[in-house]
Amino acid sequence: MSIEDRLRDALQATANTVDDQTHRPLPERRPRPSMLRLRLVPLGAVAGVLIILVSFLTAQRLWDDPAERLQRTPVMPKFIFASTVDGGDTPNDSSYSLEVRESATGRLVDRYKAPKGFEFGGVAALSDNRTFYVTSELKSQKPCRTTIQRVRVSDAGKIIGMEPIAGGPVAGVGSGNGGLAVTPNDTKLAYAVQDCSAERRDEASAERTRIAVVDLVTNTQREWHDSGQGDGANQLSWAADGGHLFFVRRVEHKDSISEDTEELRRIKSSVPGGAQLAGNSKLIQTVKSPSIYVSALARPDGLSVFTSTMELQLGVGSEEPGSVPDPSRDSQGPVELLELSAQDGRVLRQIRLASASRLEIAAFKSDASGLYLLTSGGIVDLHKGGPARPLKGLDGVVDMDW
Amino acid sequence: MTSDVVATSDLTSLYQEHQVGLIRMAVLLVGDEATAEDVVQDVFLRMQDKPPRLDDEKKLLAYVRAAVLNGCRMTLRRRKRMWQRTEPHQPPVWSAESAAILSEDRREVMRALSRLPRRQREALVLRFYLELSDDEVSQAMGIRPGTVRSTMTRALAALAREMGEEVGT
Repeated sequence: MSIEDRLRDALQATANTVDDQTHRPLPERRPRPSMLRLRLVPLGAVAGVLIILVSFLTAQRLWDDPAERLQRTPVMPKFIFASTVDGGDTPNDSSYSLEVRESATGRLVDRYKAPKGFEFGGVAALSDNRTFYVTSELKSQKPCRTTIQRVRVSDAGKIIGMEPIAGGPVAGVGSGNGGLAVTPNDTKLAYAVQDCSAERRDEASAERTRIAVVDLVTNTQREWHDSGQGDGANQLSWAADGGHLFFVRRVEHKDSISEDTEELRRIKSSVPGGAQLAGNSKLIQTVKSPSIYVSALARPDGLSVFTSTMELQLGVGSEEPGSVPDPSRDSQGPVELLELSAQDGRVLRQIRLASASRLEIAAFKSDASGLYLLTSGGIVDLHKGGPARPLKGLDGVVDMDW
Repeated sequence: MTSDVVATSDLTSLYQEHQVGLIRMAVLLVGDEATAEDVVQDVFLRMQDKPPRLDDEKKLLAYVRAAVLNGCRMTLRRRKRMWQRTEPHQPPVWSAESAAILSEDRREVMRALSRLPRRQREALVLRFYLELSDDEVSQAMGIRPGTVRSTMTRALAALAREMGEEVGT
């Protein structure tokens, strides 16, 4: 048998091992999965992973300490705390309130009306955005006294507690707007008060202004004094570590209002009590009348200060002592925030707030991250510049913070 | 010349008529019936999903043979890697384990056939089992008719050498 025949025989025999009677139906067409289904599976998987991730991050944020959260995440604080005045026909008819508003919408969340005869002044908030301090005065009280209240707010924005800080009322009247500042970690509180004694104001050596620093941990307090020409301190702000306090000192000229000046200064928090403000603080910048500081605010790192100034147009007879400046005449037009070096007053940066009014940036405060400014005209993103995002309900604000 | 999509009914008819022959052809190439059935079924499944376009419906059988041949090649390629780790689920017809199926002489031929290069093995199966012409083999294998003839000559000589014989004896 040739090899071809042997091959044919073997192939045939091998092939015949396959039974031709076995039933082998035609395989059915498999339903092809639609493209939608094919895509839904990976999309669903991705969505599932994202949901788990977002849930995890959200849960982590909720469990975190609020203060740490704000320091780490550069988002605006949720609430704004404000002291407000509702003007009546006479000063005695005015009523003061504390308000809690949502920073995103300006919506009023809670309001506390001061008892008749009481006034609220400066406001300073902690970085947890749930606690703030406010100065309060009883107008009829003689001699004048200022009490500093610590106010607690719930996560829903409701005022849930208010109590005076240890040490009781202090002599003098608060500086109002910018007269109160607290370190973000709630360890040091600073406030500026002016003597309310008419007799002492006439004495050249009278200590008309004081800045007090309260150690909130040990409940001890010390004061720095300003005698001579010093005529008030305001715009208080702390470097975040509490190492330096920044403030604006008003210096009154004896004979002419046009010679008055305002000094932007900083003082080390370690300066002992009883020291003179002018001699123990560092002068950063001076502006001369008719210019004044509308705002001065230390950045959290304490290396620079945001300032804005405006020029007052003095009224008729401005050379006469006691004449009244007219701020409204220079209140319109673009506003420039200047970032000054805390070391030497050099201008580090200019931020133009287009179409904002100069008066609108009065009473500004920074958030804990230093990325947003709260002004009376609204909220300013320091990275993007102006204009400020307007907020409802800021009419009649005396001071505010967040 | 226009080409038409093959209808499902034509595929069904072809399957009913030629399924055994196709499985048998596949057995000769892959060595076991289970794998051969899988190859043929897979070919028909694919053709249902994506029916071929042919200008002449008489070419459908040649097309299916070429598809089965290609399926066998792919199976053998996969098996080469797979059998390095696992045992085959059914012993090849040329192995000692399948002694009950074939006589020793037939198994020797099949064993020698299995040792030939892939192209030679395919040419011999198509010619000596299906009795295809050179043109039909060339169509099924996708090679030129001249190459079929030279491949066939070398394949027979190689088979004889594997079996310890000379061609023509």
